[in-house]
Amino acid sequence: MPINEEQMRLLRALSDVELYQQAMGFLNAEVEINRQLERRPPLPNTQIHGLLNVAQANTYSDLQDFIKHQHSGRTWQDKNEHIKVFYKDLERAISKLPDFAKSEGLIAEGSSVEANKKEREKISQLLACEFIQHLAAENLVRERVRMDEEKMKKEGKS
Amino acid sequence: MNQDMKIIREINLEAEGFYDEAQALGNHAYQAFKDGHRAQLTGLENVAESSLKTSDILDYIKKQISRSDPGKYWRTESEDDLPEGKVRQGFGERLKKNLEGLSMQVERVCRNADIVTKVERGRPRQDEELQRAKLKADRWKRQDIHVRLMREFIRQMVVQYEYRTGEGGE
Repeated sequence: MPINEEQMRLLRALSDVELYQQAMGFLNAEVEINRQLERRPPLPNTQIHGLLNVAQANTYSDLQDFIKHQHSGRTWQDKNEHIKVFYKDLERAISKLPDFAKSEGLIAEGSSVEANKKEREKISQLLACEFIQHLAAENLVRERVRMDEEKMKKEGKS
Repeated sequence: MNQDMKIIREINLEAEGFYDEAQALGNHAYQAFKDGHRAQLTGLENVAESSLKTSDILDYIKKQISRSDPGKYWRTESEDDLPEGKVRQGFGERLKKNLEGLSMQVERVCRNADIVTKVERGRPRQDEELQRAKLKADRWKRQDIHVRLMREFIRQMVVQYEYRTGEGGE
């Protein structure tokens, strides 16, 4: 299902204004981890790169499956509980994208049911990709700062 | 004068307004990269010139910050005196803040080029709805103006960096 130039233009505008802000809001959110409320810790770099790869190379449904697997299909140690919470919240954020696309007029109605479904899937994937790209870039900075602080603490102790 | 010409004129006028800040950032870039890491700024210029989204440029800067060690390259803090009340920031963070802060200039360019930036309250309902529709339709124009202002800022900054490297940092 090819996306026309008008849709791409709108998608780019939404990426800058809406999705960028949403991604920052996601990372700034206070979350409950091991019964304690704190600002969402960043994902480890391996996780964020993996997520970005999946988002860029797969369909919207595959991405959803991957995110679901990351929080429900595997066991995380207590110290990595924040990763599970991250993916749980991400699943919720990503699931809102098809409705968002519709409300912004990105999905043109009128074609067959099958064609509509395909278009919805494609546009949701593109939106998810933009959202995760913004998330990844900010996450990289925060994770780097966290790692540097941890290193400094360790060096201070030794 | 058609709208495209108005936009070009307004962007040029705004670029005059942020010249001093872009120069200060160019000096900061010199402190960060000296003359051995020109490729860092070439990469930034390439992203800025080819990008259609402001977030592509901001995301690129963030990635570069995350690759730098504390106090080095994109995380080098300026050696210059700071005006009172200003927090010392690394080069990348300062550049990002400046580029994000161009929204005021975007508003002005849009206003002067007859591009809707907000829905005015208190107007007849039909007018309000028309304005709302125009606001939505013109989103990409505001985005394009913001990208072009970012490119101008980066160009001016890189020219100042080049100037500093050419004179050996004096």
